[in-house]
Amino acid sequence: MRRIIAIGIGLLLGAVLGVTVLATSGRGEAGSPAGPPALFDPSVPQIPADNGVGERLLLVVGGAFSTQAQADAANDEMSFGDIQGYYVVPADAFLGLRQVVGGDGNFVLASAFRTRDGAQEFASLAISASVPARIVGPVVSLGGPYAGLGQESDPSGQGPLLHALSPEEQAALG
Amino acid sequence: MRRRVGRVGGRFVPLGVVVMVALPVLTGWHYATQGWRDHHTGYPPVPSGYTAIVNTFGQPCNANAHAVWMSVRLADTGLYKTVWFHKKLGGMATEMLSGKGGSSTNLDNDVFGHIKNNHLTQYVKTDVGSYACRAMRSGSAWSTHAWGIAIDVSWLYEPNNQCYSTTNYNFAPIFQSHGWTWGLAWCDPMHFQYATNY
Repeated sequence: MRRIIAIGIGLLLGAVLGVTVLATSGRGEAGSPAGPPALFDPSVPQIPADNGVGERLLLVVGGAFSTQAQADAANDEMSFGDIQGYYVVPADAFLGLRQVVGGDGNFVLASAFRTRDGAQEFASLAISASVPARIVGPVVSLGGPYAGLGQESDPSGQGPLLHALSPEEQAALG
Repeated sequence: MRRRVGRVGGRFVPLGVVVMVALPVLTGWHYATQGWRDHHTGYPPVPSGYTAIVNTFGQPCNANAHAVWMSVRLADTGLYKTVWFHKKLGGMATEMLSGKGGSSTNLDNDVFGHIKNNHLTQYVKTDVGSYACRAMRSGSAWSTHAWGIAIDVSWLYEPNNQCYSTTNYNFAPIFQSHGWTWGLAWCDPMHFQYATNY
């Protein structure tokens, strides 16, 4: 009788232990906090940091701030999941941008696009993530810091749009 | 001799009738209650590294990268979110899903089918997203989202740089058993991608 009770208790403990292990598996698995493998692979091509100097561009704007610190802090709060959202750029990096964002908006959260489809696609992504987004422009790039240019589909459907549009196509933006 | 065969055949007639009736009934019951079965059809090889990704899925942001869509219910809000992804990872017609021009049953029918069938949709929470023609966060390499071969799930609960999982661990093994890599390995628990070494 004692043997049966001992076996029963053993089975019960085993079952409890098994359930506990299953329930907690996957939690607390600390990996490298540094990022995905592609960030450390020198053979992975980088997106060209093209600032589109002289081009007429559309900007998707997420906000304007008087200081860069405020803009950086606001950008950190805006979640696009694990992809890059806005870039912090000086308002004076684009001709016509300051008039749109107002006098105190020295630094702007923006992403630049060559096509309206690209701008609308990103704006939709932002809005679906509950992040503010407003399409402004066209504005003219004065060659400031990189603002995300090139992260849109080429109208051919073959890959990203990594070159300037013709003057006629730029004029058609508005 | 003739009588003997008839007697033996006669014994099997009721069994045949039972099988003929039971099979469609059981099949009907299965689809009515479970509403789904997995297919594992048309899966592309899981690429390793940038070159293999391009060879398998094309250039980032190409038209195929967002050719197929599915609707995902977010358990915490009850809202439905539409996500777009690569046509090689889903969109094939099955008994329960209409064809969307894709060439496999991977993500929509099989992965999310298993999640539904195992009653794990309660753990799929705000927010979900797949295709985005964007770089990695704080980087200048293309994100796997630019090929439509990555999906972020429950990102409000599984933020970037969190090295543990609070909800996705419930269904992560389903993704992993269908060729997906879980970003928890680099502290990105919202992220699942159909590629390795990238």
